[in-house]
Amino acid sequence: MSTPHAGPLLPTLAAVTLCLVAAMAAASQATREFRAWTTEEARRIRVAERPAPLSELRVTMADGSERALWSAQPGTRAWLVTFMYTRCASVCLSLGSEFQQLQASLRSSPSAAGVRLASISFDPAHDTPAALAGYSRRFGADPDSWLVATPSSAMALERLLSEAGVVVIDDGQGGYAHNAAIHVVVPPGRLVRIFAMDRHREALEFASGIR
Amino acid sequence: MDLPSRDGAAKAIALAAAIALALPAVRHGLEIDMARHMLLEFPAVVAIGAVAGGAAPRIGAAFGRYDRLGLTGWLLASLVLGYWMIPSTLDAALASPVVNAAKFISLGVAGFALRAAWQRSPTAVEAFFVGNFAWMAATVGLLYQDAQAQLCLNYLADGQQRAGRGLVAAAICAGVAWLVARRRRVGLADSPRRRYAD
Repeated sequence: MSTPHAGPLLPTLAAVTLCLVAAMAAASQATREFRAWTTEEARRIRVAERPAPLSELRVTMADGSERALWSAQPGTRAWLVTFMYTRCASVCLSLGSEFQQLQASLRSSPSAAGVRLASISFDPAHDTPAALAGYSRRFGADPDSWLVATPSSAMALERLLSEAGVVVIDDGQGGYAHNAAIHVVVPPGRLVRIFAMDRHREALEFASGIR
Repeated sequence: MDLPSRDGAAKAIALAAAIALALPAVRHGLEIDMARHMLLEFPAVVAIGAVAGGAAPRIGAAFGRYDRLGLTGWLLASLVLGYWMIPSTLDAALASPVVNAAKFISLGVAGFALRAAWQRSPTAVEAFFVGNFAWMAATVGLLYQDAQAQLCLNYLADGQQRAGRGLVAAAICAGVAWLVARRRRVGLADSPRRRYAD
């Protein structure tokens, strides 16, 4: 090129280096050291490294009564929690049947004593106790080992979703899309691990190992 | 590019776009869809930055010492655009007004820096960065289309498909736009200077 652009190259090299270092730092921060490209991957890594505290939560159950989570039951070592809404026809159905299998494993495995399941609805407007009871019946949820409930207030629901890092969006067809997973929560309210839905065996194994 | 009327029109359009983007309702309308977010809002902010750069050439010129051959400007723009193609950064921008502000500022600065670099960069440098952007956008676009699951918590899979196709189109457009803008330099159109040289 022409002469007006002449001059020492060093300041430019310094600026280029600065840009590269800043971009690497920003990208590393956004991707948890280049291990996670999506928010969901990052959430799972973050929780495994540093458990997320969950506030005490009041929920309404299928029989219409209320209770507090996560510590109210003395014998409970860990909760396997999924978020759902009862009208869901796709993911939540497989989710329900996976919990059905888990419930069977809980009954047959002595090492899993104290591990309980919780299906928490994020759609309290539709998921009245009657709807929750229908869901429980559909999947044969035994109230002693599988809690089907919804947070008692909109504020409690919002806080739970934000503490757990769950994002629920409109799917454009009258339903919802959300980051479905199995969340391992230990009393009195610590989210310690997140497993993909199809890793339910590993989730149970992990929860069974919690003392 | 240098005609005053065209310049004035660009400034007016950029100002109107900047005012529109200052309205939360407009931002919401763009950001609710992944393709609109990445393929309308991002280029709009970069373009606003570029027009601002054209309106304030002295600021761009003052950085000339740090931007020989336009290297810093082109690199900065590539890095900023690459960063905002990472799915988790889109979620972060939607979740936090601070991150979203950082997105607008960084994209605007990228446009500003690109405009200044445009005055300094030789063809080889431009070809490198345009090519680099094209393969980056196309690769990310193909990855978006390939992904079975939702990559962003806030965007459904069908929007992701459209964004993926749009990124591939953007890659092609970037290359074509550069060739058209630099048609004389790359030899696709007669350059007045070259005619004399012949």
